[in-house]
Amino acid sequence: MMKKTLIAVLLALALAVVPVGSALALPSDTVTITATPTYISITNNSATGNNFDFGVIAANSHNNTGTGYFTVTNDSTVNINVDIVCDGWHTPPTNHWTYASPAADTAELLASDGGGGYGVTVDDTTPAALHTTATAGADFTWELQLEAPTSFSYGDQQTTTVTISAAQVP
Amino acid sequence: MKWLVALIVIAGLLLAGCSPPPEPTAVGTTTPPPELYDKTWISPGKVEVGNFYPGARAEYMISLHNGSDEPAEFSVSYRVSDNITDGYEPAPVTAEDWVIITEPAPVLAAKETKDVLIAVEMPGDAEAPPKWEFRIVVKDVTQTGMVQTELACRWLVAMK
Repeated sequence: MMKKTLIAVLLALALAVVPVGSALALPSDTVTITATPTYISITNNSATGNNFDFGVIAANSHNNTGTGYFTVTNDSTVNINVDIVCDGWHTPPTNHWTYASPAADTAELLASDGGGGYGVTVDDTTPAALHTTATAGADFTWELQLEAPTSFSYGDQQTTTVTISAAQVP
Repeated sequence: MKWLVALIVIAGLLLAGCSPPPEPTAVGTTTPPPELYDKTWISPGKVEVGNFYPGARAEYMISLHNGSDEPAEFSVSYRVSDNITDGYEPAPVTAEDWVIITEPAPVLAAKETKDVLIAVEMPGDAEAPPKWEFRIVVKDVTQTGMVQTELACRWLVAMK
C-alpha cells in the first residue's frame, strides 16, 4: 500500500515538474521590451503657415526663405532631433524637374537650422539631419533655399512636399 | 513517510526555482501631460527590445493622439534612418518584412488617442547584426502645405 502511494506521489510530482522543467529554458529565451512613456510632438509654422513661394527664379540662381523663417514648436517631453526630406519635384502631369544638384532642369533644396548657412542638402529619398538636438520643450527655427537649375526647358510651376521628422535623441 | 516528506520538500524547492519568465517590461505610466491634449503626439519615443533571437516575436503598443479639432487619418510606417543610436546598425533590408503594423492607416476623431500594435517577428533562419535599429513613423496625412511634420518612434533591438 505504501509502495503504491509512493509511486502515485512520484508520478504526480513528475507530471507537475516536467512541464515546469521545460519552462526552465524560457528565461534565457525571454525577449525583454522596455519603453519609457515619453511623448514626441512638434508643429511647424511661419508667417505664411506651412508654405513658402520661391517665386519666379532665374537659371543658375538661388532663392531662400530668409534666416529663421520657419519655427518648429517642440512640445516633446524629451530631447529630440529632427530630420528633413522631400518628395522631389512634381508638376502634374509632366514637365517636372529632376531632383538633384543643379543642372539642366534639375534643382534641389538646401536647409539649415536657424543660422542661414544652408549646409543641409535636402534629399528626396533619405532624411538628412536638420537639427541634432532640441531640448524638451525648446522651439527652434530653420530655413530653406532653392538651388535653381542651370537652364530651363520649360517654365511650369514646380512643387514639392518637405517633411520634417522628429525622433527622441538616441 | 519520511521519503514522502523529503520528496514533497524537494518538489517544492524545484517549483519555487521555476518561477514563470518575466513579462515584457513597460516602465512608468502612459498618462500624457495635460498640456499635450491639443497637440498631436506619439508615445513612447523609444522602444528597446532585448534578448531577441531568430524565431522570436516582440510587440508593443504605440499610442498616437490627434490633437486637432478635426478627424485625421494617419499613416504608420516602417523606416530605416541613417541617424541611429551609437552602437547600433541600421536594420537589415529584410527587416521591413518582419515588422507588422496592425493598423497602418488609422483614422482618429478629434482629440482621440489610439493604440497601434507593432510586432517584430524575426524568421528562424534570418540574420541580423548584434544591435540594430529601425523607426516607426507616424504622419497625419490630412496635413496640407509644403512643409509637413511626422513623428518617429525608435526601435532598438539587441540580439541575444
